[in-house]
Amino acid sequence: MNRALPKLRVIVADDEFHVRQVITAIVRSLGADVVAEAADGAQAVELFARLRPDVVILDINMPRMRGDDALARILAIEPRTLAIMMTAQDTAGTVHDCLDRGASHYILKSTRAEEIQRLLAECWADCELTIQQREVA
Amino acid sequence: MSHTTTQVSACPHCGGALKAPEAGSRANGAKPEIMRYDLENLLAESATDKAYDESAQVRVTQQDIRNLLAKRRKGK
Repeated sequence: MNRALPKLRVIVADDEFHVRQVITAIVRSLGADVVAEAADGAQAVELFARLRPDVVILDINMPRMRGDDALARILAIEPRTLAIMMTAQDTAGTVHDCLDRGASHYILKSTRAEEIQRLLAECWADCELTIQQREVA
Repeated sequence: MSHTTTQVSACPHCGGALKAPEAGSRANGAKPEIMRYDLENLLAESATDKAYDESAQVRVTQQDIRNLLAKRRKGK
C-alpha cells in the first residue's frame, strides 16, 4: 500500500447498526478514515453533501431512501465519487442497474466478516489506484 | 315535424362567443381511423419483455460481478 497517499475518506451507509460497525472496522483496518455513518439513503446523501468523502459504501435496502437512489444523487453532486454497493441483492438486474448508475464496485454481503474484508481489500487497492491516477493527471 | 340546426356563433343565454367546431376527420366527411394491432408484433414484443424480466431476475455470484466489471472496464 502506498503510504504517501492521503487516507481515503469514507461514508458507510447501512440501516443495520451491527453491519455498519463491521464494515467500519474493516475499512479502518484497510487504512481509511470513516468520516461518517448513515442509517439510510437520505442521511447518506446529506452527509455526503456536507463532508465530500472519496468513497461511499452503500447498502441498497434502506428506509427513507434506497441505496441505489442515494447513489444517483451522490454522483449527481460529485461524479468522481467511488461508490461501493454492499448488499444482499444478488439479481442481475440490480447489479446492472447500479453499475449503469455509476457504482464502481458491487459486493454481495456475506455472513462472514473475513469474506467481506477480502472483497473490500480488493476494491480498496482499486480505489487507491484511481485516486492516485487522478492526482497525477 | 322537422328539425333544422343552425350554426350560431354566440351563446343564446350569455351572449359569449362559441368555439367554432373543430375541423376533424368527421367534419371533413372522412371515416375515423381504425386502430389495428399487429398481434405477431405484440407477441414478439411481449416475449422480449418477458425474456428481459427473467434475465433481470437471474441471481449472480461475486465471480459473475467480477467478470462483469472486468468486461465493462475493457469496453471503456
